[in-house]
Amino acid sequence: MAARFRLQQVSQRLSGGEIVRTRDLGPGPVTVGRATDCDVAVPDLAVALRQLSLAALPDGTVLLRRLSEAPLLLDGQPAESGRLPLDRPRVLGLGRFRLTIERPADSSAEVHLRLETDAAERASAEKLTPPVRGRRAASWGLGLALFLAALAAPVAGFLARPLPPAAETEAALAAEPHYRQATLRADRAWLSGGLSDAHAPLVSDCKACHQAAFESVTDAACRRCHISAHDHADPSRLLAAMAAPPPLLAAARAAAGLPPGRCTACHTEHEGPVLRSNPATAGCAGCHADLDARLPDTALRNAADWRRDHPQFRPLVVAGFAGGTPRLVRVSLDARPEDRNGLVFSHAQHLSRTNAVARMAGRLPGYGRALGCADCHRPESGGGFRPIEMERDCGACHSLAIAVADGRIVDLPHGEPRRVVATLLALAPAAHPRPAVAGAARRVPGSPPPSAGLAPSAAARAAAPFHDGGLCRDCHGVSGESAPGRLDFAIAPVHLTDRFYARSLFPHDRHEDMRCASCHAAEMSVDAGDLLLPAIAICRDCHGNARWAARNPGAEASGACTACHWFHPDRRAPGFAELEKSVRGAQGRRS
Amino acid sequence: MNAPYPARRAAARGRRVRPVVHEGFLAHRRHLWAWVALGLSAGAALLYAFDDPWPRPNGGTALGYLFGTAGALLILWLAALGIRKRRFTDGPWSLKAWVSAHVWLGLALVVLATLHSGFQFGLNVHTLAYALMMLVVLSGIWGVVLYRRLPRRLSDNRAGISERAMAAELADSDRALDAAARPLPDRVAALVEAAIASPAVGRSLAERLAGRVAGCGTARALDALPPGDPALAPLRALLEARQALLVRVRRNAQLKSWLQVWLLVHVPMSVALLVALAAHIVSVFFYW
Repeated sequence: MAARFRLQQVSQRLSGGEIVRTRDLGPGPVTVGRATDCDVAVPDLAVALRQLSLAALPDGTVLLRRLSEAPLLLDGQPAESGRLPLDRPRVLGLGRFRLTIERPADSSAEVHLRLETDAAERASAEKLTPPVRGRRAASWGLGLALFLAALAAPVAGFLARPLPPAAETEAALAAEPHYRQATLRADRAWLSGGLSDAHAPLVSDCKACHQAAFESVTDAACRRCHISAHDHADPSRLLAAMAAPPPLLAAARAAAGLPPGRCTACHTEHEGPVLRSNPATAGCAGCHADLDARLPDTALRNAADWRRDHPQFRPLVVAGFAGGTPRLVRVSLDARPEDRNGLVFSHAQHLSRTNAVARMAGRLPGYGRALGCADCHRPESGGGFRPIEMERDCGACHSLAIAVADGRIVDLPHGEPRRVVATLLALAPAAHPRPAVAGAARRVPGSPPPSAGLAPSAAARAAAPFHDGGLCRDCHGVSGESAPGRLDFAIAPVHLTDRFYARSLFPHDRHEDMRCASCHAAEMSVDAGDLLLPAIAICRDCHGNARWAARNPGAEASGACTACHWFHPDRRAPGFAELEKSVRGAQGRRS
Repeated sequence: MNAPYPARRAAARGRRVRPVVHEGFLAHRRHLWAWVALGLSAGAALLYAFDDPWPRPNGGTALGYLFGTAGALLILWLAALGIRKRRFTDGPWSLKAWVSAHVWLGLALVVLATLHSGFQFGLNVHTLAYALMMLVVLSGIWGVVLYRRLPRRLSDNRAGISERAMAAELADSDRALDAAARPLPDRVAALVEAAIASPAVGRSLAERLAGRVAGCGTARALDALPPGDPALAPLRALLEARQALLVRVRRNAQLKSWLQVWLLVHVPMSVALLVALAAHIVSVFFYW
């Protein structure tokens, strides 16, 4: 006998839990569908009006017959008509309902059908306005990616890289640079600004300068390459000379590892192609405004500002001679010092455009006109002048040619009075020395000596140049013989100063657009002792003068200290050897 | 006397009470924070104008450090709104006051950070932090504009009906359609089922922002059902009512999505900014 069907209809209670209604459907077959007259009415539009029928067979299986083409799922698989063995519960999917077919364990005479749904009530308010999601995921993703790329990778790269190797000399450095050219490194993203051209190759090797984390670039790091960089002064004196910053600032700097006097206090990198040092005069004035207060034994005068507070220039002038050695002293131009260089000379006479000197120069080959400054003061490369040499710079007019012997012109040896005497004594009597008469016409080189009247004695001939109106006396002071006839004349010592200033080098080449006379009043000078150096006021006419700058656009006349002075002196700097000695001495004392 | 509200209590004591007028977060306390932000910006600009650092202004000068520190602290405080907004309070430090300050000081941050940069920009983490900050501020301005405009449109669209009521109406429509379609042929039932099953609002954010739903079941059912069939007339009426309801529901979802979508930029960019800011500060002192 076939089994009976029993239907259990399960519905969810709003407060949770379920309600089960049980109904006996008889022996079947039972119909299942959307229509209300089906034995099992499934209230779901996805189910056909008549979807299927179930019949219990005597062998204990159930015969499933599909009544519609609507899709049907059995245990999750598409189902077709056929026998269903009930060795286990079978589940039919009907829209959002489940129909479970099973044979209870205690009774073989019944087939239980259980109709249930777990679909919640749809269209809640939340579904109508779904929140915009993704903020959290995007935040995590972006944050993590940035953390890795901008923070973790550069730090890891820095820690993994060894310090660059050190070089012993600059030559070794040039052969094998400290820095390592490299491909892109993660810390490149940290570059705050372009490196200067000089340091450009270091751009992929931050560690070349930034050698330790959270430590400002040290002088030691700079000196790995700048092996021969020169100190401004003995470092201990340099520190003593610095004005102490306010205590709080000093403490903050000390705590931050920023000692005073470090390289980076002046040289700021990552500021574009030109590495400039801080030109603020405050940098120099910080020490030099009141240097004597902290360094009482300094030889330097205080200078706070080029235009308002700079001492008058103090050139090195010849005060006199001790034996043959000049006594050089520094004297302010305000004291109108004289440079007793030992010469007899008139700039005015030589620069005249109308006098005999001018006419003579006009006739001379190689001159052809009145003398100019450069005819004697010959510029050399580097902005200075070649030292005056008598033969080259004076000799064209002040000829020392004295005679023609054996077809050769005999020159008196300049600067050697004894040999002058010997040369004249040795001349044959036939030769005619220059008449030692004041006002005699000066010869053009190569012209024959004029004939003299009576031939004087040999000794008188030898002494003639040294006497008043003689050749030597044109330019020099001469001291007489120790006894008449001994012919031991002596020429007054001469010292022509090459560098008047000990702390500054004047670049004449950078002033070549100017006339010499705008600074040097040589045309008015009749005495060799006149010091023709311009005073500070002349320099200030242009340098640091805003009105001058306004009138001369494009021209440059800086008022910065470094326009005339060095901070790191090199070999060109006056007083360099002296400074190097003192710094070396200080380093020797320290080590 | 039982008077639970402060105003009523004050009135009961005979004090004059200010009438309660809604004041937006921008105008909070007569634009107090706008003035604070303006003062902060002007002060910073003045300091910058009279500072003459060597070789040029940047974040590493004394003023640069001052602006940088102030800017970083300001960013941390602005970001703290994300925590603060989850606690709704009133009073002088109400959430409204906080939001007002957040908006105005956030604008002042642009001035502060730009002066901190000294107008130097490059392809590096420092400018990245600046760019992210600008993105955050711009998205914030966008958010303020949206918050000034959309809530009115939102309430106009709702016409006094709450979202819950709209949802209930839609559920009613589901049930009515379900009941109406149950005795009808399977082909019609399938169309109605699809209409009920298809989502009321777009599944993707883009759809919701556009206020459209691709393949709306209700529209399809209306297209597919023959208009002249008297047997289907009640069903058509139900579907048309549903269609009208869906327009309102979708407009509602669209406006609400716009009210939130700017935060999809603002919040992740803020987090990215915090990380970039940390990288900026660490890198500067790491390679001092």
